[in-house]
Formats: sequence, C-alpha cells, structure tokens
Amino acid sequence: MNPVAEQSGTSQVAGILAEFRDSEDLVAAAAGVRAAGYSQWEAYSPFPVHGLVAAMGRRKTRLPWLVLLAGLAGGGGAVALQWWTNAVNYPYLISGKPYFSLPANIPIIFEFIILLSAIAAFGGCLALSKLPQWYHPLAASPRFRRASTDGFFITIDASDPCFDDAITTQLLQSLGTVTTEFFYRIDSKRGLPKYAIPTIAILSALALLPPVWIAKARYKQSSLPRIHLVRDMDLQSKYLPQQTSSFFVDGRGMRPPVPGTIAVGTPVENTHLRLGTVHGLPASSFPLDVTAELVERGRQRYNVYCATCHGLAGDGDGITSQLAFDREEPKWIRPLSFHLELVRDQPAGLLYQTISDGIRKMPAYGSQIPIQDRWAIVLYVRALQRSRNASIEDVPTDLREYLR
Amino acid sequence: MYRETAHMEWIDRVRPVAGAVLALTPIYLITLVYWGGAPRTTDVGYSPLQPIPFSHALHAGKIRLDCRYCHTTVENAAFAAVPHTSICMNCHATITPDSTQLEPLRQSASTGDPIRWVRVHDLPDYTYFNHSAHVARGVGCVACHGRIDRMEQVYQELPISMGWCLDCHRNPTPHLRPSELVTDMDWIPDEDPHALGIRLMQTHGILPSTDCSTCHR
Amino acid sequence: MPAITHEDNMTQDPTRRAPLVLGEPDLASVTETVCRIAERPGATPAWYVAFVVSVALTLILFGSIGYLIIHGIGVLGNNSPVFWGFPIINFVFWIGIGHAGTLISAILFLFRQKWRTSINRFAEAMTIFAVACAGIFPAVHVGRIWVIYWLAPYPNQMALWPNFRSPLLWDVVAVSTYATVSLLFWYLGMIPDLATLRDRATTKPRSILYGLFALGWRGSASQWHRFETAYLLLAALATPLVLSVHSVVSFDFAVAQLPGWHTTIFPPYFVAGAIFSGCAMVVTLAVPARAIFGLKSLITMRHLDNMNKLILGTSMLVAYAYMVEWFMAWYGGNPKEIFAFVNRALGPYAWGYWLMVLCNVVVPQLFWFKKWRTTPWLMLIVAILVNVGMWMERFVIIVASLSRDFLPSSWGMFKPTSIDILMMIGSFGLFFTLFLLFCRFLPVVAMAEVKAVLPTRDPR
Repeated sequence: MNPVAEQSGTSQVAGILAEFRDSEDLVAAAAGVRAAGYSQWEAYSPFPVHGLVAAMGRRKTRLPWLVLLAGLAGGGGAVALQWWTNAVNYPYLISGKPYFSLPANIPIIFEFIILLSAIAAFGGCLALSKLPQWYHPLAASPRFRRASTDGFFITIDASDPCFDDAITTQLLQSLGTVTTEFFYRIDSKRGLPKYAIPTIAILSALALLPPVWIAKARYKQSSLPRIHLVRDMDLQSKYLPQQTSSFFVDGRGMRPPVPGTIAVGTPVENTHLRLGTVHGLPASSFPLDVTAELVERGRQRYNVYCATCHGLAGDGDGITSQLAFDREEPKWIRPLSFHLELVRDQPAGLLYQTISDGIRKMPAYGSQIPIQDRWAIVLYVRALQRSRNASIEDVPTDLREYLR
Repeated sequence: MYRETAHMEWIDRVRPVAGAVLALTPIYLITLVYWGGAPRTTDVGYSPLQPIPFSHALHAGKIRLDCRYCHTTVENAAFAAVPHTSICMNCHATITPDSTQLEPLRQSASTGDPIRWVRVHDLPDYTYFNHSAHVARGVGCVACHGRIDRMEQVYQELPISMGWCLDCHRNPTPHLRPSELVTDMDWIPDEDPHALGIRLMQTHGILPSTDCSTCHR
Repeated sequence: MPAITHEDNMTQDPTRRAPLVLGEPDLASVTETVCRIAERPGATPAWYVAFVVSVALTLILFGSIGYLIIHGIGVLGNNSPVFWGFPIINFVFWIGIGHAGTLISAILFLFRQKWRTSINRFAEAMTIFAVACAGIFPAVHVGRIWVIYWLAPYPNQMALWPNFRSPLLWDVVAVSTYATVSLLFWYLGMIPDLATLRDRATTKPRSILYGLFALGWRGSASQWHRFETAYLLLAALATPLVLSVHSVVSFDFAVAQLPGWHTTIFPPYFVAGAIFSGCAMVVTLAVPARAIFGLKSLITMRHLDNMNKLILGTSMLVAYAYMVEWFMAWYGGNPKEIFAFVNRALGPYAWGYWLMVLCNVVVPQLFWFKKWRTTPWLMLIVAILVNVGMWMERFVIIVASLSRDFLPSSWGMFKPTSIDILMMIGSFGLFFTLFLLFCRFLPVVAMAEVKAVLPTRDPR
C-alpha cells in the first residue's frame, strides 16, 4: 500500500478510507477512532445511522435555532409589512374593515412564518453541511461510490495531526475494517482554469452594460418614445381632446363645428354684450356691472393677452413690440398708445369690437378671450387711460394728502 | 459534476467568491429593476422632436408670454389645449413671417390642417387629470411641468407617475401658491411656505382625496 | 429464504408487525430496484404512449392559455352571474389533490408511520405537480397575466400595496408558500437518492446532471444528522401548512356573503375533501405505476389497502360535511341559505349535486369490502370516480351557488366554453407529463428512507 508506487505525478495522499461491514461496526469503529484522538475524520453511510453522531463525539446541529429565528423574523416581518403598508403608508378603507386587525392579518403572518422557517431549514441544512460542494477528493474513489448504496466508511484525513500511514491503517484494522485504502488528490488543479479569467472579465463587462444603458436613459433626454412595458390601457379606443383619428379624412378626432354654429350659452339676443353695439352703433356703456372685481379681472387678462404688445401701462411698448423693433421687422407696426386722445375718445363698444375682431395689423382675439373677459379688459384699458388723465377729485379724500 | 470535477480543487477554492457573487446577484438585479424601471428613468427626459422647433425658452422665458396666452383652456377645462395655428399667427403674421422654420405654420394657416404637435406630458387614458381643478386651487404650472421657460425643446422634467401624484395629494402644502400666481415660473414665497400652504388649503377647502376613483373612473 | 407472500404482508395479526417491504431485499437490491427505472436506456412502450398523449394534452393547455392571453378572458365561460367558473373549480380541485402528498410525506412522518416511506416520494411529487397545475388557473384568470407581479408587496411607482385583508391575497401567499415548501421538502429528501444515481451513473450526461443536483452529497454522519433535523423540521412545518392552505382556499368562499358559501364549516370541510381527493389520486397513480415500473415489492398491497382505508375515512368526513351544511341551512332558518341547498339538490344543477353525492359518498363505501380494497383494478375504478366526484363538488359549490343568489332577476346559467374544457383537460396532460418525466428520470422511491426501515439492513 505504498501511495507513491500506485500514483504518480502530483497526486498526494488525501487520507485513508476504511470500509465496514454494517452500521453497527461503523458506530463501534467511530467510537474507536474518536478514542484514538483523531479530529479530521468522517463516517459515511447510505442511510442515517442513529447513534453515529454521538459515537463520533460531534455536537448536535444548531439548525433548529436557526429555523426558530427565521420563523420569528417571518412572523414579525409579516406583522410589520401588513401594518405599515395597509395602515400607515396607504390606508384605505375596504368593506369597513379596520386598517389593521389581527384576525384579518393572521393568515399572512402564519404563512410567512412557515415560508421563512422552511427556507431556513433547507438553506441552513445545506449551508451548515457546506453544500453544494462539487469538489471532493473522495469523488475519485470508485470504492467510495458504494457509500450511497450499501457501503459503510470511515475516512481519516492526511491533514490530521495524528495521521500516519502505518499507524492509522493499523488502528482501522484493529477496529474491524473490511478493507482500507488511501485516497488521493489526483493532479489537483488549485489554480483557476485558463478560460476562467477571460470569462469572468467578459461577464463583468456585460453586467456593466445594463447600468450604463439605464444611466443614459436617466440622465439624458431622448426623443424616443417613453418605455412602458405594460401599455395595456394607456391608449384606449376613445378620443381625447386634440387626438388624431384615422377615421376622419382630416385626421382630427375633434370635429370642427359646422359653420354658423353658435355655442350653447352664447348671448345671442344681447348684442350689447356679444357685439358691443346698441342700435347698431358701438355702445358707450358697459353691458356688465362695473365693479372693482371686474377691473381686477381685466388687469389680469390684460396682462396675459395684451401687455406683451401694448405694454403693461398701455403705451404700446410691450416686450414683443420692442423685440420686433429690435429685429427691424418690416411688417411690424407699433400699437397705438391707449393714452392718445384718439383712443381715449373711442366708445367702449368700439374697444370691445377691436379686441374681438382685430383691427389693421392687430389680430382678432375673440377666439382666445371669452366675452366677459373682453369687457373686463376694456374696463381695465379705461382705467389705464384714466390713470393719466385724472384730476385730484378722482382720488379718495383720505388719500389726497398722500399724493401731495 | 462530482466524479468529473474530482481533480478540480479550484472549485472548492472559489466557493466563497461564487457564494458572494450569488448573494450579490439578486441585489444587482433588484437594483437594476428599481433604478431602470423607475419613472425617472423611463419617462423623465422624454423630449420629442416637434414639427416646428418652437422654443418655450424664447416665448415663455425671454418674451415672458403668459402660459394662458396660448394654452387658453387651462383654467376652465380638464384639458390644457395645445394652441391652434391662429394663435401663433397672432404674432407671426408680422414677426418673422418668412422664416423657413415656420413653413409648416404658414401651410397650416393657409390650408386649415392642424400642425401635428407631439404631446410631451401625456397621462395614460385611464387617468382623469383636471387642469382647471388644480390651477384654480393654486398648483403652479411649474409644479408638474418644471421650468418650461428654460426649455428650448420641451421635455418631461418630473416623473408624473401615480406615486408622484400621491405625494402631493397626501401633502399638498409645499406645492400651493396664490392662484393668481400659478403661471409664474420663478415665484418664491416670501413667507413660510408651510404656513402659506396651510392657509391656502383652508381658503380653498383643499382636501385632496387618495381614493382610487379620484383619478380613475 | 422464500419471499414473503402477499398474505404475510396483509396480516392483521396484532402480535406480528407486517413487513414494510416484500421479498428479502438488502441495501443493494433496494438501490437496484429503484435506480433501474431511472437508468433504463429506453422506456417501455407504455411509457412512450402515455407520454405522447400527455404532452399532446399539455400542448393543448398551453395553446389555450396562449389563446386566452391574446384574446382576453372573454374566451372563458365566466360571465354574470357566474364570475367564478372553471378556473377556480380547477384551481381548488388541483390544490386539493396536492394535499394527500403532504399528508403522506409530512403528517405520517410525524406520526412515525413507517409504511409511508416507499410511497412518500411520489406522493410529494404529485403534490408539486398538482400545485403547479393549480397555480396556472388563478394566474391566467386574472386576465392580464403579465402584471401578475402586482400581487406581490413591493414598493412601486404607483405607491400601492396589496390589500392584506382580502382572502384572495391570503390565497396567493398560502399557495405560493405551499408550492415553495413542498418543493424544498421534496428536493431535500431527494438529495441522497440523487447522489446514489450520480454514483451509479454510467454515462457522462447522467453523471454530470445527477452530480449537479446532488450538490456533492456524500452521506457523512454530520450531513445525515443535519438532513434528518431539517427533514423533521420541514415535516413539522408542512403539517400545519397543509391544513392552512385549503382552509385559506375555503376562505375565498366562506368570507363572501353568498348563500352556500358563507359558512364556518368550510375550512375543515375543504381540508377533508382535499385529503380525500388527494388519496384517490395517489391510488390512481400508484396502481399503474407499480405495475409498469415493477415496484410491487416496495409499493405493496398493504400500502394501497391503507390508502383505501384513508379514502373510506375521509369520504365519511366529507359526507358528514354535506349533511351538516343541510343541517345548518335548516337550523339557521335563513330562507336564502335554505334555498341555496334546495336549489343544489333540486335546481338546474341537481345532476351535478347527485353525481357528487354518488361519487363521494356512495361509491367509496365499497371499500368496506376487503376485495375492493385489495384488487388493483377495482380500487382504480373507485379512485377515478372519487376524482370525478371531487371535481363535481367544486363545480356545485361555485356554479350552483353563484348562478342563483339573492336576486332572482339576476339569476343565470353557466355555460363553459371550449377553452374552459380544453384547459381543464390540458391541465391533466401537464400533470401526467410531469409525473411521467419524474418516474423516468428521478428516484421514484426514497431509497435512503426505505433502507433505514429494512429489517435486513445489516447483513448480520
């Protein structure tokens, strides 16, 4: 039984393998090996042999404690999950049930306890046994293959401080072994295979691609359509405002009104309000009650629609107007200042008509500004005009002192 | 994978590393899915090319046109309309009337066919958002659309996802302002925003609902 | 030594323990008997015929699912007022089938019933395949199967969470836990046997594949010690789990207010029915399997006899539940509840009700006779009829109750579509395909466990 004679090359003795006749011999021999003071050794059987672990002097597994911990974590986690999600983060009332109440939450708590415990039992069994372990020197031993069928074995590792070819063999023989043999690390390759490093490098590089792609999507703008994996009802077969339609020739989902259509609620009869005319002539009075609110409304609307050309004070020096002059736009005509007498003398109805229908280069705003708002703007223009042509009598008495 | 690997001791030696990689793989995958699937990745930054390179930075920023000058329906309707051609032509009939970039505009004005603007901020069809309800209660344009006045080409700046909507519905105070200032892009409250928000919530009776049927019908 | 005869195994003499395994097997012959099935280079013609038929049915199942996914759940017969049709019937049926497997592998293990050792492996396999079949139906009936992950509680951009107060979510958690635990239990028990197959492998692919899944198991004393501890723990966990799963399934119905569903007897009633149907399925599978694969010495007549006694016992539990339902309807005095049961027995679905009673209550009484309990083809007839009866039970509970609820104006009849029926038949195909593959490539009997109970395990 000289290992060097049997094996050549880099093989080295990994230990000694002794077969026993049955489980009783195995248990007795295990006690003997233990008594001889070995520490790096193991016993193998095709089925669990009771008493073997005790005979070997190994302590009981900690697995049950691990499973208990996992079960507690599962139960605690389930309580916390249900409480936080349904009662704290998004509490919504369903069938008048309380947000959190044990009876309704027990089934999930129970299942989580079982689930985590079971995973811990399975994973813990493997992990504590150091499985999966796809390399082991014993795998090379043809004799040892019978350990999973009908073989009972004891192995003593060469790394054991008590290990000695002759003495250990003798011990095992005295313990009633059927046969002993050495097992080897055959040409054991300790280093990684050649292809490992390039493979790892390529895989690592590939693993970096998705984050890079995501980072690009996250921090760069893109004209590509948004990525929605689950589109389902994002686009429904209905028309929303301003959607396209493949049904109508002009491609619009919204239909333009038939010419001559008047919207519901249009003050058809009230020409003063709608057209700004009284007896066919521009009205000089307002069809609406003149109130401070209406002036304020007019100021707001004026600033939205008018100020950009006419200027905030109505001098005709709005930003757009200035810009057009800066650019020397040939077709641009500076809007008239409202403070010219020519404009001041215009009746309110005429101002209203100008807003509604436009005048000279000024386009019609009738489609953008509702009737009431147009009148409000007219009123505000009146207020602007008064602001430059007022007398001290127009100022409330208690404020006159302030102006002086 | 046992007999065949009986001489590959390296398998045993790489086990700790392999175990660590295996443990990190789920973390890697979860991170990828969360980071990659978040609306900030999938939706934010969407910036479609428009038929005319219209610049909000020029019109809303430099010229300081009010949002409502063009988006006229925003205060009264659920839908904030994209302006029709005639609104553009208010100015462009006389300003840069011959620009080549405005060719589609002139064509639209002469034929009556609408310009096919590409919608940027587009909710799914099962979400019923109402602009007027938000604008009237003082949720500024900038709260959802970002600094449009600085965008040459409009892009989606905020997630506009359900969770993001809920953030505000659960705590609207930081996003409220006096309703006449909704279109102001660079408004900063000159008082404690929280106190102002609470006051505005009381004035307007703002009690945003988080029921499903608030947005989904 | 002469082989132990049929009679010896069936002895009722209380002073003698009946042998668990027939013949005079030693450790090597147990390995040989079980491994030979998985190691045979080609299968028997019977296996191929069965496999081709099963695969064809499985393809029908997946084809129907594909059709359903493309067209939406409108292709199913579910419609007002019977919104829960075949998918739920099949789900409850299959999940019930699984229960006997866990009963045999876990509950009988805890009670140290050693006769279970030779049938527990395929009973567990049956559990897993049945749960796989069951899982398909609730998954596809949600309509948009691609967002099924919404059922999981994960932080999302919608800021939404599942409603943990709903029995339907309890069901999701219970069934997925059951599937996971059953799979772990099955696989853990199989690791030593996979190592046996690995060590006996004569071809490289077998050696590599079995080696991969055996995880390097060597059968060392400490490995066995942890294995036994983990196995015991999993059995202890699976036992309350299996009782909870069908209880939770029954909550899907019992928590609703529908007459015929809203009763407290549902959880025990469902669990008894589940074990009843599962035992019948074990017999349905075991009778042909032991004949085809030559396992008569391991899966003995005594095993089948015991299973048939279980069927008889659970049949009477189910019969009791049927009677108590009637009693509670009458004693509760609720006219809607009374009507629900009268409607079951005399209404448009009376044929289903009486077929259920015939198959579940009357037919199993044949097992009072020893001849029926110990003759393979006779017990096969009963077992198949019990399977039919238990499917009908779910049909009656779901369809008969839903079709006529409180409001007569909204009554309606349920009509399954061809997709409904194809999916149901196809699910049997999937079940048998998986089972046939299992019989062909995996250790069908827990060798290590059988070895541990062999009287002759030590040659001395």
